[in-house]
Amino acid sequence: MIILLVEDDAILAQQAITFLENEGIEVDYARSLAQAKGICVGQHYDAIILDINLPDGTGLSLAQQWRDTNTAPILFLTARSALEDKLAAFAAGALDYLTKPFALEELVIRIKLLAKKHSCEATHFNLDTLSIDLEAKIIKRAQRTIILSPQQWTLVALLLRHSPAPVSKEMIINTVWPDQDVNNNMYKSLLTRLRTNLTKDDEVELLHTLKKQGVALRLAND
Amino acid sequence: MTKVKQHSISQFLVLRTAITLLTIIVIWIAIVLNSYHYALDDTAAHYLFYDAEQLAENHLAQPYIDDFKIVTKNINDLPAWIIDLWQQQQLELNEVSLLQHNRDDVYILPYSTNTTPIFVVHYFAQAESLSLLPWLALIAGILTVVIIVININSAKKIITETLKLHATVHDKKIRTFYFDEFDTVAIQLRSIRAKEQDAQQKERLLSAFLSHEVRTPLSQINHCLSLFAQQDDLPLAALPIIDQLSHAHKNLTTSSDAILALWQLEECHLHEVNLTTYLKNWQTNLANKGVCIVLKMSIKTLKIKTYKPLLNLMLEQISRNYQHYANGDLQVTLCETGITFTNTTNKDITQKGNGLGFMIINQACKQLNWHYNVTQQADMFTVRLTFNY
Repeated sequence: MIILLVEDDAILAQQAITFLENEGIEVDYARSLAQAKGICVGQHYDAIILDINLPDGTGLSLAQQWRDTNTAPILFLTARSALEDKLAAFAAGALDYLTKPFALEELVIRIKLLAKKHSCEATHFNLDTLSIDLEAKIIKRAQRTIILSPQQWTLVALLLRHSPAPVSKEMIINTVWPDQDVNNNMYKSLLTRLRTNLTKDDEVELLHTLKKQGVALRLAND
Repeated sequence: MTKVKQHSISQFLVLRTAITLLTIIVIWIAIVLNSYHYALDDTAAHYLFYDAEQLAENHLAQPYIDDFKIVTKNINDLPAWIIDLWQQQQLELNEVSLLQHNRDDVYILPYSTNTTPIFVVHYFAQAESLSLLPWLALIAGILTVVIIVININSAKKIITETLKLHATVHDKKIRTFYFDEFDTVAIQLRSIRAKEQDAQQKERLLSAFLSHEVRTPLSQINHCLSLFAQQDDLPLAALPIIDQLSHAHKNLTTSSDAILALWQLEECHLHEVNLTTYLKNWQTNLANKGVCIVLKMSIKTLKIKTYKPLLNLMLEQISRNYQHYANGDLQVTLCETGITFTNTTNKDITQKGNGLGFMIINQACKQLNWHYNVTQQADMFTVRLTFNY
């Protein structure tokens, strides 16, 4: 997936680009309207992230100019949360709208949904309030969006394939770290992070360590 | 728009009053001059004194009596009623008196000489004097009409201008006034409004600036935490540190939201909160810290539009005050109109706080449009937050 990010705040842009690229999303970056117009010539994007307040104009005007030529869905970023600003963004052709400050996790989810990379039912998994889309790499627990590192995704995919049966420690290590020497701390760190990400506060625990059997992704009474 | 010539309201009123009074004076003088020939003035007195001196110098036969006057030294030549007056000492020597008798105007002068006084009496038939009554009635009628017309017009003008001024107070239209004073008030009002709008605009800009300055680094911290979450092979020892950082960031974000909301709160920030659930959670959280709250709720569910960070801030101040200065349990009562917090004060604590907590609660209530009230009766201390729907 390749997207265009038009944002004049360099720090915010750098952080977003790093995060998106870690999520497997390629990013073209423009700091101004003029740069954006230049970059997007002859280029197709799966989605466009457009800041409303830019140094040489508003993102709204650019979106209006692109109405006839651009087919990529547009997501606006803005510091203003007033209703009239949202309506103006949607009137300019936006399909989505995000108010700063926003969480990068939310940005990723919205881009993926905008770009319609949803897959068929076979790659969807649901357990209690946990919902996983392996193809789009979207994972949510109720309304909470979860961001997993690549190793955590590998582990989740492995546990899903075997669920509700447990997966042994050896299999986990061979799958997640196929060509590396792994110490116990690395294994524990991975499991702790995944457990913390999947279950917070009063949510039902889904990742269970079974003595001498391994780790299972299931409800406690399965 | 044609330019209206402006007038001073005081000039306006003085001029009209002066015209009215001047008119009365002029008319009155005209009547006096033209109609009332027989007023008691020096002319009439002159002729009485003249006659008296004529008699005293023996230029006039004594007694002189005709239909129009009597000049005599003998009091018995006078009519009985004048004799009575003289005997009752109602007639002054060398003073002319004007009396009415039998439809006559009678001037009487007792003129003193070295010997007996000379009495001079002049008669004027009242029928020969023009009656003032019709004139007075005419003047009164004319003046009444004039005064009514002038005053009605003046009142109409003043009322119209006053209504225009009232309208200017309520709307923002620019109007020109007939009176200088009203125009001055309107100009002052516009100036005050402009300054107020300017101050509000500055406050909004400052709030936006502060919000941006606070939220930008918070946002950057949040993004860094998200980037951390994407990293593989994080050391085990680093996990609790990152977790602590994440909690601290969440608390800082909530506190910043609350503090910024104390300054300026937008309508779009208000969301429905189930106060019954909220207070129960608050009770549980404080119980975990060893603080006992007795919660009484007269309703099962109460949902109200409010801003949670401000609510958290207020309850934090209330619980802090309670823990510092109170004895026994904190009684919390929730009803449809508000929340009441009651506790007994700890008499052993003599040092009073600086009032910062209540200042924060007061400001938060202002932003939420709630009413806040503190009362103390004996050793019972009560804080009442009243909702404003």
